[in-house]
Amino acid sequence: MIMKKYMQLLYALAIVILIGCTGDDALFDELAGSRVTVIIKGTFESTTDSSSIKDWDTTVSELQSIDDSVNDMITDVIDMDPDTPEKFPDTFMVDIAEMRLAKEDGGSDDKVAYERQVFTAAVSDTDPFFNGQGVVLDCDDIKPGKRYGMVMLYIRKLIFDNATQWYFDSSGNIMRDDAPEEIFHENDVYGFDFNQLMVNTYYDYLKQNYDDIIRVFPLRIPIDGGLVVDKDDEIVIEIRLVIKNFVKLYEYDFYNDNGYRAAYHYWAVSDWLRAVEPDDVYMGGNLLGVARAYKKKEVATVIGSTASPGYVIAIPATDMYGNPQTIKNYFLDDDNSYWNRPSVYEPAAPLFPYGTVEGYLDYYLRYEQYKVEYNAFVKAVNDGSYETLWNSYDGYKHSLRLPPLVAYAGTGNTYTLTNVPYGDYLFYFVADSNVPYGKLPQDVDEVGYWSEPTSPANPVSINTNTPVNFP
Amino acid sequence: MKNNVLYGMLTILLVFIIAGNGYAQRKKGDYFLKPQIGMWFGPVTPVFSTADDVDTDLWGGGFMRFNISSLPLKIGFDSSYEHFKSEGIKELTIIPVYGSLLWRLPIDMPIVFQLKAGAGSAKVMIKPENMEQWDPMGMLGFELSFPAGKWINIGLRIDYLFIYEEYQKGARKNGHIINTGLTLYLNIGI
Repeated sequence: MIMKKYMQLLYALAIVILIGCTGDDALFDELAGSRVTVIIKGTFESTTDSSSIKDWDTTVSELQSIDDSVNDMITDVIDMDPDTPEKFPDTFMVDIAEMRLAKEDGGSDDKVAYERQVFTAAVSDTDPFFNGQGVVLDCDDIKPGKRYGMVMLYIRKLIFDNATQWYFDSSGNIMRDDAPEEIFHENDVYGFDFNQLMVNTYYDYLKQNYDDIIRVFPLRIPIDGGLVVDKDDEIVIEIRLVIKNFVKLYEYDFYNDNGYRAAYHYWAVSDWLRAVEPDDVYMGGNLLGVARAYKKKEVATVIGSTASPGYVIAIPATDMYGNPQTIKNYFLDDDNSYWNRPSVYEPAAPLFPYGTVEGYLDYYLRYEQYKVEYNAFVKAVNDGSYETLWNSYDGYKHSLRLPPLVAYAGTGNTYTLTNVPYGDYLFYFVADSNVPYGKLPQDVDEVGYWSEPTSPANPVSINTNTPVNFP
Repeated sequence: MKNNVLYGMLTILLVFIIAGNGYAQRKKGDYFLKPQIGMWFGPVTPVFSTADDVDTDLWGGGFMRFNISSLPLKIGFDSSYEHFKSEGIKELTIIPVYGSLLWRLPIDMPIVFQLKAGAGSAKVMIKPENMEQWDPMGMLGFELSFPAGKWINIGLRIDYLFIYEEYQKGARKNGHIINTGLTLYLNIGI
């Protein structure tokens, strides 16, 4: 009898329990999957069409890819060692710790990729990192309905190979030493990790929390136009780091283990935005990036022609708050007084001499000069002018916005700009001659620096594949 | 002197007899057979494919049990609340509600060993998608407990929860969770 009572109770509860199974969704698959694809590219161009991306220019020459920060050592090296000149890098290596998304003004951030990922890209026009395809960063979903404005990329290493090492021997002769090595992905590789130098020169330098500042951990990359997703949207977040045709050779001075003056010559991103000068150690703020997001199903392709080779740039006609904007909201002006680096900075101490009389005399002369410069520097720091100048300079450089959509019109002066989200755009063309190697389009006030399309004229409404031609 | 030794030995014998008898009585009165309510608390661990998405956390639940007559079987009803976070923004919440049958291993010791199996359903909630639904589930488990007086047993439990979703169209994954916990049983008489 008691048994029967219990069994009835059991049946009743079992029915109540099982009747609750109302689901018809695959929640565990949903939990594991992601509707977001994050793609990282090393090109200024956004298009996926490899023929609309400018080919690598691998010339190694002083006016082009060898930076003016490289001291007189380099000329000597080329003269002395003509058989083994500096070589353009063959491989680019990136180690990314994690990626987060944050609101435009910072605030709380969401980790969307939290496992370390490494990429190795060949410096070639066919590598996915440099041909427009991009490499995929594994990531989680993002929160529906939240407005994100910034990608925070935590970069651990950025390595170019073909770095060299030199030293002055006791007679003052320049000697070649072993090529610098780094640890990348638990392996020793030849190259130089310029990630460690990503502190803004003379700006972060004198701050109390100087030790905590590294401008690539995280690298804050604005998402042009912001990012809001609905629950069912299939989204691509495209992150572009400007690397291709934006690489220069620099010099890093130090004393080697034997006490000799030595230097690394290493490849890193161009100092177009924040100039690196002789004896500068740091080169932060020069790794430039832009991110954009689009829905996979709501994009079109724009094709067109131009009068000469150059960059076709498209920006949304309105910003993320609906305000009209033009290319002037993106480019900087090199006539602006804040464009050039302030001349007030901590002078570099002269290096110890090598063992010749001339060397010592030269050293003491430089040391006297250093003392005078240092006194002027201390005065500028004390009266606040140093801070004001560098804040204005850094703030102006920080206001640069890279255009979200770029294609290069090369062969036949035609271009294909893919994955253009539906909307109204302003198109601009900047001729190749205005964008030398290691530079980006920037001049907003020069007459004729850019041109606009004629058929159709700006603003161009894109809701299907559309041709946009420039005169 | 001789008498003293004899009395002493007799006293010890008496103590043994009384104590032995008392011990036997305690064992005989098996309070574990009474209806029980209880609660547990401990690490809840996603395993297999579920472990790829979320991490271990610390949660607990409650249960009630009835003995079926004098058989070594109990009927139990369990529920718990388990919230899992991840390093990213994924979150998983599971509220299992299930009935189970528990078999007490026939080992003549104060420590009680029980094997159990059960079925029911689980409310599954996920973030950031903010979706939720009830899924069928099964459970296999093992419990060990010892008496701490007449009213209370203290024990350990290990449960494997299987949340079944693969029967749905397009689904390729199920939920797998292992609960381990410290358990407090209250033996309540009716």
